[in-house]
Order: sequence, then structure tokens, then C-alpha cells
Amino acid sequence: MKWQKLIVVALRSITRNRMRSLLTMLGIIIGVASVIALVALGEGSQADITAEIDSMGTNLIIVVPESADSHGVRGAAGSSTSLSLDDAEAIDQQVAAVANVSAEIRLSEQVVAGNSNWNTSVQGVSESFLAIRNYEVVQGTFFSRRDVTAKAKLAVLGQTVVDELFAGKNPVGSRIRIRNVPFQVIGVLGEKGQNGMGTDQDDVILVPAPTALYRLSDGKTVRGILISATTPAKIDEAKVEVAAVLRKTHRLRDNQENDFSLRDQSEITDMASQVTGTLTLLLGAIAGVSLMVGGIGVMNIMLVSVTERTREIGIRLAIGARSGDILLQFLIEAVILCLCGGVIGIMAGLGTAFVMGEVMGTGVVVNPSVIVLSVGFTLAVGVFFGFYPARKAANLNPIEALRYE
Amino acid sequence: MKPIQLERICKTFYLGDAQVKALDNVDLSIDRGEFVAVIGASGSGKSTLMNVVGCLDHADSGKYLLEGQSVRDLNRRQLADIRNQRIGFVFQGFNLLARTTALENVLLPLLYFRGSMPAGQAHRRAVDALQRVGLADRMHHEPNQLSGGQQQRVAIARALVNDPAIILADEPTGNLDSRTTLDVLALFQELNDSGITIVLVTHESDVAEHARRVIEMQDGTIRKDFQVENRRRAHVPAMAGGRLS
Repeated sequence: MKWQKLIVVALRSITRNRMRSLLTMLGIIIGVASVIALVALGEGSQADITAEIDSMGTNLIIVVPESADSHGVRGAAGSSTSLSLDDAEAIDQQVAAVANVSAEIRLSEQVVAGNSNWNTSVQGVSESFLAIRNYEVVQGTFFSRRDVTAKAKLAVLGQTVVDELFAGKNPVGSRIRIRNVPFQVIGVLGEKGQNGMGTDQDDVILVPAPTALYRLSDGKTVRGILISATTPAKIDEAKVEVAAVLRKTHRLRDNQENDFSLRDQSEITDMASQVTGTLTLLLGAIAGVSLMVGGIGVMNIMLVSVTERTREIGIRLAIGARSGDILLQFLIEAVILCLCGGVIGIMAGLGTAFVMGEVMGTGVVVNPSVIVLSVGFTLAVGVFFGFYPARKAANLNPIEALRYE
Repeated sequence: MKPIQLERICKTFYLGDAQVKALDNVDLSIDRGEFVAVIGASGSGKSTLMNVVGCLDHADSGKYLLEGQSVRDLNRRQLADIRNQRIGFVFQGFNLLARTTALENVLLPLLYFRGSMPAGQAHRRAVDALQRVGLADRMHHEPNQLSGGQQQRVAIARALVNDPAIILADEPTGNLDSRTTLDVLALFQELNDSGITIVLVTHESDVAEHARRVIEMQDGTIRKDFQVENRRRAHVPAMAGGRLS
């Protein structure tokens, strides 16, 4: 008997008992839907986390000074003034695994433009800061390397500052005053929104690092050095080399501890991937259990169906169906039940995921491999749980089956 | 070559300690074009004979040649193919698939046909078979929309569709009233006149009188085997109209 005929026969007997078929599928539907929905939401929030980490900077390494230790009184972390602009320069020139380096000087200043004023974070950075921190300039330009070395009094504003000082108008070419030092606005940064800690990343003014250090600050407090490694794999290598360079420039003896420390985002990414790993395991367990329950439901109904249709099986055997035909008929019926359940489950799962994503404000990622996997799994469930009832049907004795009331 | 040839067929059932010889050294041969009625009380072995002839059951011993082919050494799957192609079954309880149209019921044996048959040809054969039993106008009706006699005629069409060597009818009129019984018997006679070999099991002697030859069974053996002298003809017009009876 041909496949398409068998499928038609199976479909007919499924549609003959619509309500029962639907209820049978329900276990599979719920199992698949929950897996699809949870995976879509899980991967969506994973993507959100990754995007967040990326927005802080690509392959970012941060060098901060160790706590100051003067005569036994230890200051807060980052309180020493061990880092300098020369350190940044040395790292940039001597470490091959490093793509971009920028010193970072952070000041909180009252800024005046015309008759408006605003307290914001003024950051002294180098020309490669944009690449490191994934900022972009949407209006005007950023300052160049030459501007940085020349300690030019140029400023690039974040969107919040533009809104506060210029009421959203294009500020490029205007002048602002920071600590009574006049700066020319040459560009505006693209919006980034809040970071993971809730800080507004657009409430910022970027100026060349030496300008900030010597004209606005005390000339020695470099808060940190931002480094981006060439590739994610090179982060560890870069950290080792950066440490070596800094120990040399700081003239540390072998028995002295580092007067700086290096951080990267691997801890955050590790944690995120650990969470995702646990989640995946949990999802796998849910999928397994619910699909097994669904499969048992299918087997149960198929057994009932075989008993109920004993006479039909007898007729088919009497008029020349082979045992194999009957086996295939019932097996295909079970598989179709499971597959239909799977397909409905996928649609229900995706629907749920998009609705939940909308409600919770998280992203939704549709992963084709998960869909293919769940279809394959429901197929396997159909074959596994359909085989026993199908074999029972195929092994019926035609004479007894025909006599069955 | 005779369609059916049985030589010393034995079949014994064991019910607990009791041993029941359902068929005890049965010799029987049926020629092409015969219309044989097998009669006997219940337990006489006629149903077992039917099952053996219909390749639904193996005999314990003896030889059974169906159109010259011994079926003793055939496995389950080969027996299925023989039932599909050489034998048409008609049962007492009609045994049509519920919620399935007459046409689809008649198509069922062709579904299990091993050779290649285009869907169009299969459909044509099913319609032809329904025409032969006078139900072409009701082929899209489901069994519960048909009378008992009509259902049995659909079953006969299903038995005919694969163009079998013999039609085996097991109490085909058992569930029918006297008028529809005549309808169905007229149909069998008409089919027999066109050359189809028919073996009919019944316990009613007036049904048996419509056959050409009667075999009477008792305790697993053939007690009488005779030609019907005053053969009854069922009235063909009663069936040809295809009315609801």
C-alpha cells in the first residue's frame, strides 16, 4: 500500500474523532509550546544581556589604580594616582593584542551654555574612545588624535546634555563653559540609553583627555585606562601584556604587588552563560517530561482506538490487508497525531513568546534549530509510543477480530 | 483447474480438556461456476470450513488447493494477498466501515492491491462493481443511510471489485428480512449466472434451495452432498430497481 494512501486513511480516522484527537494532542501541544516559548524568551533575554555587555564596549579591558596606601592607611579602590596618560600611550604602542586605548578622566562639573546650566559628567578620553565604548557621533565630528595631543578645547555632547543645555537644538559650533574654560562643541553622540546599573549614558560630555587632565583637573588623577583587545580570544593575552608594560613603566620590583588592577567582562559573560546553561537544562527536563506524558496519552488513546476498531481491523485483514499495512496505518496515525500536536505547539509557543515578550519587554529570538529539534522529537515520540498499539492491531487474528462485538 | 479442492482436511480445537474436531477428514471439490450452499447446525464445522477455504485459517492437516495452488506453506502475508486477489468475502453483519461512503468501502480491497493500479482505474472498477449490484446511484451514501439489503449489496460489490475466483458468503442473509433476503439471493444468482463461483454458508434450508448444490455438514464431516433439483429463482425485478427495501 502506498504511503499517501496510508496517510489519507490515518488522517480520516483522526478527523473522524476531532475532539478526542485534539485532547490527545494536548499533552504534546503543551509540552512543545512551553519549550518553544521558554527557549524563545530565554534566548531573547540572553541576546538582550549580550547586547548590553557589548554596548559597554567590545572586548573591553579596564585598568584602574589600586587603592592608595599611604603610611598604612589604605584608601578606596581607585584612589591612588598611579596611572598616567603615558601609561595609556605605552600600552597602545607596546601591546600587540590591543586594538584601541583610551585614558579616562571623569569629572562632575557644572556646565554653562548661554543662560542654561547643567551638572554633568565630563570625561576626558582619547580619539579611540568611540570604538572602545561603541559610541557613535550623529552630528558633527569627534576630535582627532592631533586635537588630543594639542589639548584642544573641544567637546562632544551626549543627547541628554544637548536636551538640557540647547533644548534639543543642534549645538555643533556653539560654545559652552566648563569651570569657566570655554569649549567649542564639535559633535553630538548617538543615544545609548541607560546602562545595566541605571545610569544615563547620554548624560555626558567628552573632551580630549589631556585637556580634561590639565585644564579641568589636578593634572595627575587618571581614573582609568580603557582598552579593547583585538578579538575576544585575545583578552587574556592582552591583560598579561598590559600588566607587564604597566609594571615596567611603574618601575615595580619583582616583590612588589601591582599598583593597578585589570578587569574585563568575562565575569559577567560567564555568569550569563551559566544562567543560560542551567535554563537550557531545565527546559530540556521540562520538554522531556511533558513530551513523555504527552506520548503516554497518545499511546493510551491509540490502545483504546485499536480495541474500538477491532472489527474494522478484522475487515481490513479479511479483504487482504497485510499485518504490515495495519501496523503502518496505526503507526502513521500516532505519528500524525504527535506531529500535528507538535506543529500546533510550535505556533502556540511562538505566539505565547511574542505576547510575553511584549508584556515583559524582553526580546524574543526564534531559533530554527529548536523548532526542527522539537518536530523531530515529537516524531520520535509518535513512533515510540505508537509502535506498541500498532503492533497489537497488526497481530490481531482476523477471525476473532471479525467476531469482536 | 478447480477453484477449490480440499483433501482430507482436519482441524481440531481444544477447549480446555475437550477436543472438538471442527473438520474431520473433509474432502470437497468445487468447480468453476458452481453455486454451493453449505448448511448445517451451529457447531457442525461449516464456519471453520469457510475460514479454511477463505484462507483466514490454516488446516491442521490435509491439502487445500486454491486454483491449483497449495496454500499450506504460505505465510501470513501471502495469505493476505490471496484473500485480497482471489477471494471475495460477504459477511452476515455486512462489515462495512462506518462513516465511510459505499464507494470508499468498495475501494478498500483495491487499497491493498499489490500491483500498480492508477487511481482512475480503481475508481472505475469500484463504480462498475456498484453498478453490478444496482447501487450506482447511492455510491456516496454512508452505511447508516442505506437499508440492510443495500448494505449487503455494497458488501457484495466490495467482494467483486478485485475480480476474485470465488465469493465466500457467510450467512449473508442472516440479518435480513425475507424480502431483502430474496433481493440478495437474486443478486447472487445473477452473479453466478455470469460465471462467478459462489460458496454460501447458511442454516436456512429455503436459502440453500437457491443454490445449485447443497453440502450438509454435521460434526465436522460432510453428511450430504447433492444437486438441487427444483432450484428456486429469486425474482430479479425485486432487486433491479435499487429501491429502498
